[in-house]
Amino acid sequence: MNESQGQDQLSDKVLRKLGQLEQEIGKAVIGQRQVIRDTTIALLAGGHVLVEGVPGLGKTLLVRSLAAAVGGVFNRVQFTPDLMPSDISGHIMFDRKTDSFRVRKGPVFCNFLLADEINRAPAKTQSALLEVMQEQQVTIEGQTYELQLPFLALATQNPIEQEGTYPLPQAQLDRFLLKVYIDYPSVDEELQMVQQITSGSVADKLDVSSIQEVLKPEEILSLQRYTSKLEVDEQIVTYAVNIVRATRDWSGIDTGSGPRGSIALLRAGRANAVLSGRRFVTPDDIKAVAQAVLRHRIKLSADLEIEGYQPDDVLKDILSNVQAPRV
Amino acid sequence: MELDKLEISLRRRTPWEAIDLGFALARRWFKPLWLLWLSTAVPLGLLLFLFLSDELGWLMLIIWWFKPLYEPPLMFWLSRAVFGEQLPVKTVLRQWWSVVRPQLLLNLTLRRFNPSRSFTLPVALLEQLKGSARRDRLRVLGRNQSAAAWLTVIGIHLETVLEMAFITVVFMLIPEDLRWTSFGDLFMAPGRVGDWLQFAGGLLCMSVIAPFYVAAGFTLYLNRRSELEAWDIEINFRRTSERFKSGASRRSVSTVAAVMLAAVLALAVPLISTPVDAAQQVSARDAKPLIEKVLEDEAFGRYEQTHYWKYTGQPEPDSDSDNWFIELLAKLFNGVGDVMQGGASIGKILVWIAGIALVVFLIYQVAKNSQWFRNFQRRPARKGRSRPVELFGLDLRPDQLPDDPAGEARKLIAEGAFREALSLLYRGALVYLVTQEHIEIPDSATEGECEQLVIDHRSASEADFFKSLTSHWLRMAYGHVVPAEAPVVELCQRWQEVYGHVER
Repeated sequence: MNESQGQDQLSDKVLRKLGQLEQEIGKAVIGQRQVIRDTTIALLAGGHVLVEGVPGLGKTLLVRSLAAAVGGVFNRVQFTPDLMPSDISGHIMFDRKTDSFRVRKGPVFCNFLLADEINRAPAKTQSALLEVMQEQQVTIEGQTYELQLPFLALATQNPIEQEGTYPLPQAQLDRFLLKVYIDYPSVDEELQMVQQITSGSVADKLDVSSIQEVLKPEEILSLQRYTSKLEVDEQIVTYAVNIVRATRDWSGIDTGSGPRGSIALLRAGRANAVLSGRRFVTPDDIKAVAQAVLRHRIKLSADLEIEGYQPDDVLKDILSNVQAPRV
Repeated sequence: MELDKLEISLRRRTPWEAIDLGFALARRWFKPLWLLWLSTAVPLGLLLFLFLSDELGWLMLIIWWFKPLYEPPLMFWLSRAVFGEQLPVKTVLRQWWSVVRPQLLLNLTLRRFNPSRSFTLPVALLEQLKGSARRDRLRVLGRNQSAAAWLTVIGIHLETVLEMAFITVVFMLIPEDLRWTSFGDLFMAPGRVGDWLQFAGGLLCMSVIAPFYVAAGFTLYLNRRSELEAWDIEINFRRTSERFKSGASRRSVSTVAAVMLAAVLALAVPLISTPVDAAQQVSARDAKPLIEKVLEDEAFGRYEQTHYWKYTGQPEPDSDSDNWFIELLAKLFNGVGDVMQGGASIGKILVWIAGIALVVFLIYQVAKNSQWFRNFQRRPARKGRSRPVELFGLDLRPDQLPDDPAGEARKLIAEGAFREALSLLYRGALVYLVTQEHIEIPDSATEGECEQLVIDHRSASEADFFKSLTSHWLRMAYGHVVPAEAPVVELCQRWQEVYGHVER
């Protein structure tokens, strides 16, 4: 009972700040509310996000804004074909001054990492990052280093210019909690964005100075723990599993999602419930995150791909056919 | 019977050739035959539909069972058409009852499963024979005739294959995204659409096969009579006679031929002029001296000696040891032949057993599906639109609600059963939305989506109330948070205001 009260107190105190978090990010990232919401969900659920969108839509700004609002360390790695795993994780170098070897930590040692155009680097380099994402620790020359938590990796992919890229294998895609599409802003949003960025700015440098720090990294960790303990009715678990199982037998899907999809669905559903200010998960939470959680975990059949169907089209069908929970 | 007006060329045919001729006739006259079949079957189908629209299985069975009702008009039309008189469909329909009536009851009951139905139909319909006369006639006509039964067997198979092909084609034409069921389930566990598809396919295929079936049965009948009563010879004689009469330069020859023809016809008249009577009046004992008398005539009293080669078998082997293997094989094959010969009768019995089992299975399937269909129909439907019976596990049938849901909920609150009370209020609200306001709520709709539907379709005050009710229900159902008594009692009061007027 006391523990429950403690949780409630934590949520009351921190949830207000959490509501502000999205607002603060929204100050710099104009529009893209769904992307902000999905990124925040991933942050609360302790997952990582794969963002797909054409260049220049504010992906870097999003992560920088998030880092600024949470007071974490932000790093950006531009993935290129010659990028080596050690360029991400770090390496050992000889220091002539001290006449000894010392560890030079890579950009992965941060709270918020932007892995830009992850599919431009070879599989070996991609794997290095994905291992870090999974284990949340880095091994350099046999020595293991814990990452500073919270750690959120936001990898981006460009849907155009696919020549010379290394598409992420299905097994690696599965490690991203969410896949988010970032689309062009609306006219009003774009007008507001252009006015805001060009007023008083010399170059097109990203400005996050207006963002206030509303949460500390430790509070994020508390929120993550709170989210993971959020009450979930058995029927909700069944609903999530039913959705994921439906992807395995659905006409038009060659490969459905594995059990990791069900787990991710529940984690993201919990985070969505927290962001909605609830202390319990409803079927709407699961449905709200289902597309972002599952779209990169299914492989459409060749027929549908040729006809131009997207995973979201099929997922919509699945969601409108899977029976809602029967309490 | 004016044989010289026959539209078909009579010659000695095997039964299979006769069936082929029937198919050719059906192809030539398909339209009138098809219309005649439909003009009987469709009104009956519509009439039955009025009474049995809910029992599609029984409807299909009855339409199939009444096949002997649709076939006599086709046979009647064909019997006139082959003699050059192609009656308009309307004329046949005016005489429909007199054509269909003879022995109808027997045709629909005892003779329904007669495998030679199309072959024996002309005896009752065209020769108007009944009772023992019909039996004797059929005995004569049906001697060594099995093609008619095979025609029925082939017809059944063709009909089945056509029906399956029809359903398959329709199924394949449905875009993959719109298919509501698998192909196997469409056949084995048909729903309402599956049933209708089978019904439409069945009716269409019956109507297509029927003209061929009746025409082939009729030509089998004609062929048999032609064989028994030498129609082809009679026609040839008549043509020869006409040719001789018209040829002036051959008068002398024609005189001789005419005399011969007259003699032959005079002798043959009892046999061919009234074939039915001839078959009945001239017995084998009477016919024998008549035949001998004809043979004694000079025209037939001529003997010829001819020579030909005939296979008389291998010469006897000199020693048994050389050909023991061939003998062994011969014995083996002879033995197998004997077994097969014996097995044929066993096979016949097995075919009958299989046929009966198939019929029983079909009846069982129809009965089973009709039961299932009845259950399906029992679900309430209004204005042709199906409503969910259950949503989120809540029973939405109006008759499952108490007369006064708000009052009942208050009682439950007093007993401390908050969850049941909220469930009742929420269910009552959904019943109202689905049954009275006809808001379509899919089975996959979550509570949030229902709330959005209410906001979109109903007044602001009702939406406010529903939002509040949903919120309490969600906290109770998924958050397991027991609410305070006062707000739930207030919800009961507001429920009465918002939905209290609802008729169930």
